[in-house]
Amino acid sequence: MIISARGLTKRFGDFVAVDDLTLGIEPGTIFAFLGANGSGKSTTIRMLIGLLKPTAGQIELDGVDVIRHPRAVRDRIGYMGQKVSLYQGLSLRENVEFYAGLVSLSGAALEQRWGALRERFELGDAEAERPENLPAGIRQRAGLAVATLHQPRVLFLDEPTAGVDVHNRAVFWDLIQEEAGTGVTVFVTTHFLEEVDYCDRAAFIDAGKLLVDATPEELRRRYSGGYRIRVGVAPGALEPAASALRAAGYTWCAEADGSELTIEALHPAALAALHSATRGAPVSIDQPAMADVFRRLVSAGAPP
Amino acid sequence: MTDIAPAIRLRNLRKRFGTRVGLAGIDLDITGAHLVGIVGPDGAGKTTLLRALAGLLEVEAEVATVLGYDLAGDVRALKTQVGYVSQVFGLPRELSVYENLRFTARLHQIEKADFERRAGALLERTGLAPFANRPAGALSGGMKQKLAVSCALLSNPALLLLDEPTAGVDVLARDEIWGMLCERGADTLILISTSYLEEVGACERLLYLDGGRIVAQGTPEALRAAVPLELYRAWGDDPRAIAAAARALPYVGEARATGRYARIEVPRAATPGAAHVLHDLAALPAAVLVAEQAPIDMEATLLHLARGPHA
Repeated sequence: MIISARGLTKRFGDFVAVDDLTLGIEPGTIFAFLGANGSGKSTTIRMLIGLLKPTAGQIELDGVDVIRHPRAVRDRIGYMGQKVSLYQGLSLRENVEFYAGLVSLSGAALEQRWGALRERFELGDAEAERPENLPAGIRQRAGLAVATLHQPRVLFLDEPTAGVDVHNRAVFWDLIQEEAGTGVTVFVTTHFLEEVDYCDRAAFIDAGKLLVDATPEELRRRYSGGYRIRVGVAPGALEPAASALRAAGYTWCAEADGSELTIEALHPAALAALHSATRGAPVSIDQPAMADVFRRLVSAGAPP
Repeated sequence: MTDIAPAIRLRNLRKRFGTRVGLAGIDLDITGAHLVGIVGPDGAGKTTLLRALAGLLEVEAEVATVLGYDLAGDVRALKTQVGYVSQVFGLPRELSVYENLRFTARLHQIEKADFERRAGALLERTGLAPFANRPAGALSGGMKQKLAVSCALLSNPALLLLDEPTAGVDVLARDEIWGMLCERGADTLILISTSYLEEVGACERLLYLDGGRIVAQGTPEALRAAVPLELYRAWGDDPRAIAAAARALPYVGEARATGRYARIEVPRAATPGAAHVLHDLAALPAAVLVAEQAPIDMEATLLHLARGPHA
């Protein structure tokens, strides 16, 4: 585990902001940490990165005891919030030099690292601009580039795409997936629930308590009516494959004519069974929207 | 219902900030009650347009009337009929929820009895009643926005202008805010900017801005239908590998992995036909288990407009 938190609790007076939270995250995972406004997400992140001391519990990040040695984790993590922590009044390049100084990166090593980031994050035109003059999408990309300057092992991104347009959100998630592809662990919060599908796992907290921690597909299985799949074949044409489809988890929609199926989760074996059964016939897959999954999760409250 | 019919009429509306062009010539007619979504890339002019319509900016135009008031003239009477929610929470943080509502009521000279009735209904509707005495600055992000929308609704405005009121707000609070807007839709002209695809799709009419101009407008269905693309989804174990392999097909425009599948766009002008595309996708070197043609959704529509021919 690169992040391990056990029994994490934070009280502010009588108010319990985070309540006995336990999480374990493998390296290279994109981990979505979700919850309503005020549910304890930011407090949890502040404890995980060593900025806030928990009332109780243990945290280990990349082998470092965060509570005993909060400063020792700083080199290992990158952080970016909704309000990107770039200094106004300084150009992006000046911000880069400032942050590089904090992580002891300079000279040729800085030029090489920043040069690569500038190209990959398409920031060449933004380098001389001040952050406050950049459109939100480019400013967020610049914030991510600066947060990864020192090649951290774990990236904490707190609502990185809030207020960012759909095109720049797509670009941003391509970059996050590339980072994860190199082994970086990404801990991200978002209210754009369709973004959960970019993640390997998603946890949901409510009033400081962990309600669920599962893959996006497992969340769909537990908290939706499942997928509906229409196959463009004559009524009854799927019958020869009926037993294989049932074994993979499919059921037939009662109200349809025999060419419409439902399934709780579309796991690889289920896709393979569908592939064999349909033999190239047109298929239309209706996937439950993540926003609806979370509406149902919240109304269900406790884990099933 | 308010006395004045909501209406917006703009011809060549322009706004400059020094050398920077905020609005480059907006032509727009809105008559009757509508829930109108304003969408477009960051920096397109959405906030500037909303602020101009609220009478908050000095603008140039051949025609610019809002609710019958000329934006070039005295806009004080217009402002009494407008509810406005800014992108950044702008209410006094030290005042409580109730005090913010009362302060707003005094600005609009709402009678005490009317205020008590309307504020009570809004506090109940938003679930803010138990927090009526909490300072606004101590509310969660979702509650802050519900308070901002409540203050904007308090005077029963004929025109409601909302600048990303749900940015950074959780799905349940968004549902509550959206529910309040839909309830008002019949009585009030609402213009709202949003980045949430679900909300964009729920608007009756959309204005797509880019570079300070409206470059597309219509119902969400009409904008979707006008996208000259076919959309395919290829499902398999490794959507990133599928997307990379699909990009090598000569007619594929964009391909991107998302969750369990790769989204693949094919320009209509280049498509060899759905059957051919589905056959090619099934034969990709990255294992595609199921390929399907999908309807054009709001994401594909906005991404297309973001890189469209107007750009």
